[in-house]
Amino acid sequence: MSDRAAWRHEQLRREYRQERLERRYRRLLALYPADHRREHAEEMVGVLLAAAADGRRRFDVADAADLLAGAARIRMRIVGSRLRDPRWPASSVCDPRWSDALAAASVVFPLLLVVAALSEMGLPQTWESQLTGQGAVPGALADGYLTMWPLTFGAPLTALLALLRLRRVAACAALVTTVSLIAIAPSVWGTYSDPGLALAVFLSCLTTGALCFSADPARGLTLLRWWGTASVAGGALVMSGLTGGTMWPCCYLAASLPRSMQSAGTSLQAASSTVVTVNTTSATSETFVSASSIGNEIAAMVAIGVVALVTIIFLRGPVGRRVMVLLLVPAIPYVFIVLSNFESLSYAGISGLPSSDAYSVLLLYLLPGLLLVMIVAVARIRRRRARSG
Amino acid sequence: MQEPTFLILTALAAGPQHGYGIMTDAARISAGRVRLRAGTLYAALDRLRAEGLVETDREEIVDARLRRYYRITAEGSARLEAEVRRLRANTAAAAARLGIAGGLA
Repeated sequence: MSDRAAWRHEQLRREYRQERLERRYRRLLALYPADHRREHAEEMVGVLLAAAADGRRRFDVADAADLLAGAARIRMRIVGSRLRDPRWPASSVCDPRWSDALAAASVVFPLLLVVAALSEMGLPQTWESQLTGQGAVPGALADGYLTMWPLTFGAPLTALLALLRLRRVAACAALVTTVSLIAIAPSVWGTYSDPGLALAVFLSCLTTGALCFSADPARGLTLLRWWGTASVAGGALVMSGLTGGTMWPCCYLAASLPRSMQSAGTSLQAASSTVVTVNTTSATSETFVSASSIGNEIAAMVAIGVVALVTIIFLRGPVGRRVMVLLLVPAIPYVFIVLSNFESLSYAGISGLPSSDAYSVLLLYLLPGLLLVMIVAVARIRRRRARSG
Repeated sequence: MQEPTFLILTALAAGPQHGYGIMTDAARISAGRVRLRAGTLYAALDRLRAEGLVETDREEIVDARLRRYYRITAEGSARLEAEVRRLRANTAAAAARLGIAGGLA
């Protein structure tokens, strides 16, 4: 009887050990790609336990290391085969709605980048001041537009290449624009916390992404049709002509703010001399600049809004909604700047661009960056759910 | 061809086998010199299946555990045969130069 009890005890102990061993191996198998795990996990546990039954009852470190190496090798092979796909990285976007949205974005975003470039270089204001002989001339052209070469040449070149349906070349141009924009920012703008710069950085960044991950700008052109593309491009150019100029009604809106606020803002602004004006001696032009600097941001936001509206008119449904979500990313810096400018105008009296402190850089780049990461994450999670469900 | 691949294909050349069977067979073929572990074995099987050299034969449940049997494909046999020829030519050349021709086969 005691013999039998001992045997039973031994049996239970063995079962317990086996279970524990299985659990530990399963934990390691979790490192394998989901597809491989579904297909082979049970089988591999069987092999590992069978090998363990050959004398080694304990968890084997060499086996564990080998499992890790095996998982790494299988994952590397999957990555390698994905990279060899001629449609990479567009092939990694599985959802056709996202794929279409990116295709449309690869047409719309380069155009928006041109808008951002035009308004950042202050071309409209310059034209206007040349025409009317008055108003603020921003420093961009005075400094020489060559110093802003990523915007002057990169943006139109990217747009042209995208419209010519040269996806890869356009993507390279957009990437060069993004990187060089970030590289020259400290020497040209002297800060990263410039809303126009943040807008251009995010637009060129999104353009790069859209061109990389969309199947083809040709698909985007098909979706928008030629009149849609023409409307977006026309709308974008007209709006860029209006941003920042005195023709823009927003300036008058800002100028109609209580005079005390404006004068407070003007005196501080003149002291810090953050905004470039030609005529700083005249009080009237100073008032105008402090008002139009807010008008600038509002105008740029409205410009983006109009282009977004034109886009959604031509792209209704799930594809259009996704383009809108992508458009939210570059719009965030502007919303933030406008809000903070109005706030500071109302009680601190400091108008114009935000100070180049780490806080505003964080808000300008971190928020849109986070949104971008969230969009990608949500799209990935949905894809995974769709695949398993 | 790497040795684990060669041993797996050799093991399967005799007939379909399951994972643990391939493991023990590989040890037998290499006279205990090579011990394939699960990670190496399944990474190799994954690649060989992708290359079309090996395919799934059948599945069995033994002691509540899944056993999947693998078999070599015609392409796998051809690849193994080519490797055998290459190795044989090399060993023959080496043996001839060492003056032990015929001593090794």
